[in-house]
Amino acid sequence: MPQHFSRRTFLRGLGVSMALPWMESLPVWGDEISGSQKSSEAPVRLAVLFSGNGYHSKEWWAKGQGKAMQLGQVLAPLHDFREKLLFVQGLYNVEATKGNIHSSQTGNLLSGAPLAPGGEIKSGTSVDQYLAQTYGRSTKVQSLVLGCEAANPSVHSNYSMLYSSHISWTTPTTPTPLELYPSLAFDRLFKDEVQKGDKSVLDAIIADATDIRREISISDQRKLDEYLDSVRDVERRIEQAGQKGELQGWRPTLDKPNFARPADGIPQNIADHMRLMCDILVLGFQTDTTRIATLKLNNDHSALRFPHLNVDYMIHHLLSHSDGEDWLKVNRFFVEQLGYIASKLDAIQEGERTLLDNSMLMMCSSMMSGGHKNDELPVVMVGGGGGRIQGGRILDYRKQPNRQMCRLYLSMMDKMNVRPKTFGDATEALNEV
Amino acid sequence: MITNRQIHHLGMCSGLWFALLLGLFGMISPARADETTHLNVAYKTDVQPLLKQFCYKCHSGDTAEAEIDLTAFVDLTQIRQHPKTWQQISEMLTSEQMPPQDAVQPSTEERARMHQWVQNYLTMEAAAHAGDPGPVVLRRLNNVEYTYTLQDLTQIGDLNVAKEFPVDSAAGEGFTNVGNSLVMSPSLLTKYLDAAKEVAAHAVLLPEGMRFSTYMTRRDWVNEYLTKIRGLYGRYTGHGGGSTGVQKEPGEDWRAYLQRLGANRSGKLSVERYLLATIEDREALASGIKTIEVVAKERGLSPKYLGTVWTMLNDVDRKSLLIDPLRVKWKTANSAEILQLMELITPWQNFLFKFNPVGQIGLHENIHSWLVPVNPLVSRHEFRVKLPGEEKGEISLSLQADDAGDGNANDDAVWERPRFVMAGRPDLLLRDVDRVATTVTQSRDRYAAQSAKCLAAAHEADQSSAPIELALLAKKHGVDVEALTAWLDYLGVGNGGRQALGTPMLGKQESFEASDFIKGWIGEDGHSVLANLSDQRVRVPGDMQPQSVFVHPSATRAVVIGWRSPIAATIKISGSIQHRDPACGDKTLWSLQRRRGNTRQQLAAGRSKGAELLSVGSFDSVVVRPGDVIALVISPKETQACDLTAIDLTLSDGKHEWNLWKEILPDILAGNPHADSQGNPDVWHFTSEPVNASVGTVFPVDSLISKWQAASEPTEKMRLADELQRVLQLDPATLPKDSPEAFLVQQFRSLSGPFLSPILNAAANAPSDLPTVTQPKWGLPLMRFGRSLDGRATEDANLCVHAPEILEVRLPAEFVAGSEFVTSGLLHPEMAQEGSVRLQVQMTPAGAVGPSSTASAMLVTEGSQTAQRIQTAFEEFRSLFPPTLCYSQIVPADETVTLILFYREDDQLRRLMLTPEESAQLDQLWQELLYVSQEPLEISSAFVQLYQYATQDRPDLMPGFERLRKPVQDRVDAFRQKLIDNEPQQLNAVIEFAKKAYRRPLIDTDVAQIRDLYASLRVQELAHDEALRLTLARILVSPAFLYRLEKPGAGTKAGPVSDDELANRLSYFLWSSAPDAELLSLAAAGKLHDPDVVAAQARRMLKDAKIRRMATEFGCHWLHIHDFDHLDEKSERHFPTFNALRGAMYEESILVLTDMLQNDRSVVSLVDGDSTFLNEELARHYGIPGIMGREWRRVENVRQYSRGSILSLATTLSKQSGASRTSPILRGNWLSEVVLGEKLPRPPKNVPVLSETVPEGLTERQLIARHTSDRACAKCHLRFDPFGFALEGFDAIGRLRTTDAAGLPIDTKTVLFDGTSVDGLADLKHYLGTTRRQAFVGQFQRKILGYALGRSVQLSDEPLLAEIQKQLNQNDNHVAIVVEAIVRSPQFREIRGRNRVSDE
Repeated sequence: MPQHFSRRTFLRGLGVSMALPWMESLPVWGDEISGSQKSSEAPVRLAVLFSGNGYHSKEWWAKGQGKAMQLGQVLAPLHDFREKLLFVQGLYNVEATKGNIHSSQTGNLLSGAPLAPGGEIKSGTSVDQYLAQTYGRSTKVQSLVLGCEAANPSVHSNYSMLYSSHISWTTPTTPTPLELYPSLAFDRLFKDEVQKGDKSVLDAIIADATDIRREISISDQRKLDEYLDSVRDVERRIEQAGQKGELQGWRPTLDKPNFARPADGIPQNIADHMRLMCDILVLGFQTDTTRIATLKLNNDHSALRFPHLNVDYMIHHLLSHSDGEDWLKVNRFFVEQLGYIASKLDAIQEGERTLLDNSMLMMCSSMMSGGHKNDELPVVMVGGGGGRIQGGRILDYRKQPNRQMCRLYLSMMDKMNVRPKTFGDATEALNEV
Repeated sequence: MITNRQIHHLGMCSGLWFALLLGLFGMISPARADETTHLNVAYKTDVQPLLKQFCYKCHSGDTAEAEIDLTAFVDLTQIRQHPKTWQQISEMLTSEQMPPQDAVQPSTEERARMHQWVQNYLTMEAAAHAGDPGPVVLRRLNNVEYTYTLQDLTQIGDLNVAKEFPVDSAAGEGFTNVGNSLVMSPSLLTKYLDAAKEVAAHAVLLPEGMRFSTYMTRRDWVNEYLTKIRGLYGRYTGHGGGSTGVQKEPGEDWRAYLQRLGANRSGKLSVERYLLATIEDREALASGIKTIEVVAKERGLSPKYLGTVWTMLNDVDRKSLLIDPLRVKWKTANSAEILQLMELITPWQNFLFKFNPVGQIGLHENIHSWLVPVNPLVSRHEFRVKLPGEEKGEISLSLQADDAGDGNANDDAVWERPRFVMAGRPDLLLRDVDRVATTVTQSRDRYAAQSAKCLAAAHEADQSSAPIELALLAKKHGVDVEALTAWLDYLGVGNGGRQALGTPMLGKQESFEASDFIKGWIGEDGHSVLANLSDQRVRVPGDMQPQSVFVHPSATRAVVIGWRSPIAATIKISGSIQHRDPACGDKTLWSLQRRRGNTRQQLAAGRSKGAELLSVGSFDSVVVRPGDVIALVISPKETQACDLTAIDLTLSDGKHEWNLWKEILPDILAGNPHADSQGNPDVWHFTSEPVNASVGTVFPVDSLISKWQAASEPTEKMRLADELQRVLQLDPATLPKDSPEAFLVQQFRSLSGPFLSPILNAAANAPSDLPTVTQPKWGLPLMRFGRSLDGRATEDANLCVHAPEILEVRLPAEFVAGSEFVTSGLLHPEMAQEGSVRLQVQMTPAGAVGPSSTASAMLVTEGSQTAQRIQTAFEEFRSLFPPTLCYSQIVPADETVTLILFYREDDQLRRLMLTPEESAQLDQLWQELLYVSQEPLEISSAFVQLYQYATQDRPDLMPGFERLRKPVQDRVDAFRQKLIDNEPQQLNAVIEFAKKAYRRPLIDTDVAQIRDLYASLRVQELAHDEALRLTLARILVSPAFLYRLEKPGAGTKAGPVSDDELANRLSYFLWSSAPDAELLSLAAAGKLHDPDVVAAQARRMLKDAKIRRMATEFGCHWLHIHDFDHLDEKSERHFPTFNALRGAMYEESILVLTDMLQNDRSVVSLVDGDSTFLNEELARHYGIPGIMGREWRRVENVRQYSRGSILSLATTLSKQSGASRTSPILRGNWLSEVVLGEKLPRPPKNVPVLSETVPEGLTERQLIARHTSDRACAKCHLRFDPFGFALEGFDAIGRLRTTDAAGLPIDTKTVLFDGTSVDGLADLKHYLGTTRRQAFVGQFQRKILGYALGRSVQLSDEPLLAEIQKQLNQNDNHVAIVVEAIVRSPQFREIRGRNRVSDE
């Protein structure tokens, strides 16, 4: 829309090189993020894990509270973390209910934005990327966007399958590319990227792009800005390289990786692949190289098989249309990844709390079960959010009004001292969180 | 679609928004204005009431279903703002999905009326905007385009730097070339930068610019050049006259490869192939039926050389000594006689040329090339013929003289002093052979007969303390004085002298390799004894362990460590040796001996084994007298290099002990000989002796003579002496080989041994005036010597002949075995001034006379006319038949010390074979090889290293090196300067590259920015090479490369893209890559915007092999089988063969699609065809017989095997199945949506769950039927499931089947949604090819248009699609029709104005 665009151009004129999320009501970054966090206190980290196609229709549940909490079979791998766990029921994205097929339900999971159909690409900036562009700017890597299944390059039922493969969006028109290679994800965190002459090259291509920008159409300029923003981001990272040691006060418990760079290529076995990605995510948090991560364990409409679970006769998506033991087995395998990350984080002491206490891990899917039902989304959270989330509770919004997922995102951002007035289709946080 | 928010938004719209809308729709013509009025009226009267009646109930207000509020469409004005909504409405009406089944339905007439109006409206709307280029967002090159573009730019076919990039997503019509989905991010940008650097690393800088190589290291680039040069060499050399047949194995180290290549010396001229051509095509050539060029081409020969040979063979007027016989023979030769012809060439080649060691070229003053002419015209011909070592029977020599092929006038020659030469004994003249042999044999027999008596006498002498009177003693025992003397010498009795211990080492070594704790003695040949006096281990090289003694023999001399006994005693001996540098060195040989007088008793001997510590034995009772020596001898095996050997030796007499290390510990340099620790002087000796020294005699261990020596009992001694005598009189041949006795006898009979050498010396030196024998047993009659044939006297031992003459000489093997036959041949000085004779010596088995070889040195008189004439003949031969044409090995890898990195010698090849173009190409390759390898710099550093290494033990090389020092340095300086001089040209090449990478002409600022970056990098102290590569990388991350930039015109109106941009559109559409030179030059000439030119180009491009890319990027994406070769969705348990087959499955699909595009086939053949592509592997999978081998081929008539359609490809069938079983739902849905382009309703809100396993007794189809009986599901499933049912005859990986996995029969009969009954694939194909032909073709062209434009097809494209459909119908649906119509369309050739933003 022209208005949106001129606003953006205006902002650029002020030297702000960040794309605006889809809602214009958002503040310019930095407005409200100075916050009250003490410099000696460990920062809050956020990780979102996604698995597609929902979960077993009868075994995603939790009852009771605290130690007495009981978990359905899908959530059983989280048994040890009952007291640090928040089971959230009844939230959903109203925009995602409109297409009613896979491809229209995932791309806006973390933004609540409407998705453009008809072969166009438009969603909204996702909560993790919104945080990356604000909260994440003080770390070497603003955010990690990891995946264990390659994106699906096709269009189904009038929606690009790109939506099914991306929960992270840098801007409303830019899904954040996923890193599938453990070795490259590791490099992104730890490789010393600065080489002699790189800065000059980046300066030169910025000059190129700036010249070109004057001569292309307005819509193309917008696309080229993705490029310019990327170049500037890399430049900024080069400039910041080596400044990590200048942090005041708090220090991470680890200052360099404690395991070797993973081998090149993608592990043959999906379990090994996921495990490596979890390890890298934990390492990113532990070294404070990044504070924001998403890990897309598979695509919605996923084609993964699970020979290691003896479930190779059906791919994930087709399996999700059944509701049997094997589906349960596969669900549990995904939740185990969350359990694994939680247990690793909980074993890392950061001052009085563990790294898990300083984190928020959220796991969700774009639909409740294989039947595409998404007027209630499966959400479970583990972690203390820097001591600001009381675990061992069930939050049930099923019978309540204003069940927007984005309210949860406002609550999560609040724990990180990022407090936009609105996010997506929500204007207030969930008080209970 | 109008959403709540958008409607809300519209309400708030500013004037600007309306202005934009007016801009969009303000171009309506007056005629159209009438139409709009008419439509508006019709809407109000005919349509709106029906909408009110049947639709408003659900579709009104804020809660409108599907967010379509029909009440908002008051009149045509609002309708025209939302054409997409009305397209949707049209679809709903067509498919009768709306109103829903449970609602009140309009009558057929009402529905038709409504539908007709919507169609009319949409047609009007489409026409109003027809040709609109549409909203095409700036496109990044997707991963595939990026990869192909780089491959085409660099010409590296397998370059794939994007293999780990994130997967591109699809948008628009489902393709990955749509700007919307081609995103950029910091992490992706970093990958682009890394990839660009990787590509830049493939650049090879050349004097005039650069090129790209598959490889990234200098080493590999060099290898690449070597391969190319060898390829050119191989074209006309070697066995096939073609390639060397040596290929680099994948992963093979290039040095190993060169070694292998070098081993196949393939620079050979294969004359026989040319001769064969002239024989087999003799008539054709002679009669002019074939030209030389034709014959050469047919046979893969060089026309140039073939012509030369042909002319030579037919030139009857020329006379030439060597070639005339060839010409004569050729005239009548048939192809079977080729070898006889070669007999006239090959021997002469071997004789008129020789090869120098390439490594020595330049190092030695006289060595300038590899292949050198040899001048076999001599005035003196030296012969040295080594005779065999076998001492049995006789040896026969043939002394041959021939007339050198030009008649025998004046051909008198002399064999000068023919004789047998052997080290350690006097020369034996041929003349004297018979006499000497007789004398020596007689003496030997006499000695043997007296041996027992001689031993008795020797024993007496040994026991006697008084001096011995030889004559008396001989007389007393009845033996010859000479015989007795020989025995006493042999036994070391009575000569009183001290045992000689070889040559002492006299050079003091105060330190070694800068270690002053290593000291020792060194001899003149570099052999040494060293002691490491420290506790350190030193690598010198060779590994010197602490506190040890080492010896190092030289090539010719063994080291002898001797202990001279100061006592008479029975002693114990022990010791060890250990090779300390086995990685470098050869083995060493060792021997432990007791030496007394002239004799040596070998106690033990052996050779080193790697680095193993070897005991030299432990001897308990060795008797020594004062003056006896215990010697440890270390000699080299073959080479002297790296033979550092640690030794230890301990002797003890029970009271004292002598340990080598301890004895020399205080100071090895105190003296040589060295005193022992008890104060005895001259006990330890450090000496050397020639390798294989035959000084003195070694008694064989356990031989009779040793036993005799050891025996103390007189009778026993006598018995042994008798036995010895008996043995000595035996025929040596009867003794077991290698027995001690055989050895003893050999010593006795040896002409250089202690017994016979004095006799031989005497006989050989005796005057020859002994009685003459006319027909001697051995050799030649005495009268042949000392005079020429006309009776003139000459030197006594000379032998004169008149050619031709062959003299057969029989010789006693016993006397000449192992010796060299030495003589010189010359023309008789008086009689043969103008003569020409060839002399040869041949060894022949006794009695056999060998044929004389044609090629050998010719004796002529220097400066004679004969000499000149022959010289000319040689030169002619050499110029025609060099044995090799080039040094194809290039790298003299088998030379040890050389300063040559690459050796070029191909002048013969160029002269005889190559065209001027080939020569120029060869020069170019060589020039680049030397440049890229930085040969002068390599040589310079090699020079320094080699100088030190080589001159260490080859002082003779010093002058060669010194001579080269300055030239080497001069070349380095010149090369460095050249590198600097080339920098600007290389930068220019990078700018040239930018032009290709940006795919358009460069503007001034482009060039300036590139130059600026390079300059600024140089300022940052990056080397030229680095800066240049980074500049190259910069080009490859520039938006001008990564994006497909297009400059729109001002305003909002669409206008044509520039010719360059059009070239890009065309090439990315059809080739997924940058435009080629032809497109760019048409663009540069401003011709491309002509629609006819574009269309012609498109047709050209369709024929190109690169069209395969369109088959995958358009075709495979469309059919959802892209990257099928990596599909990982099949259960390995159920389909173990799938993973191995998926590549072949994919290839079939790609080939089918490529074939359609490239050969302009009918689009309809895709669904209803009768051919496919197969290889054996896939045919077997399909059960199609008669397809053998791995190669792919087009196969017709496959309908009978249920193939020949995209429906029956293994790819689509597998992809649209589950992991372990088929899915009629997936297949049906795919066929409906993807193949036919049907719009299906959305699935219900909550899809019921399927049971996980198929219940017992139900087929997949029956299970689905049960599932879809649910009413909510049925409305869709009835539309597509039947398609899937018809395809149930194929299993989940595309094989034909009649029963499912559980053995239940498959039912492929079904009724399609439109009521058509079908059974299986055949019916379905027919149905698609006829009833649904229009739908399929419509979908195909819609998809290809979406792919071509990089966006969704929109309403304004409908007129174009309709036009294409019409043309296809008229032209048998040939695919090129579609492509041509698209590239001619305004959509394809235009771009929207700069300020036009979006539609709805």
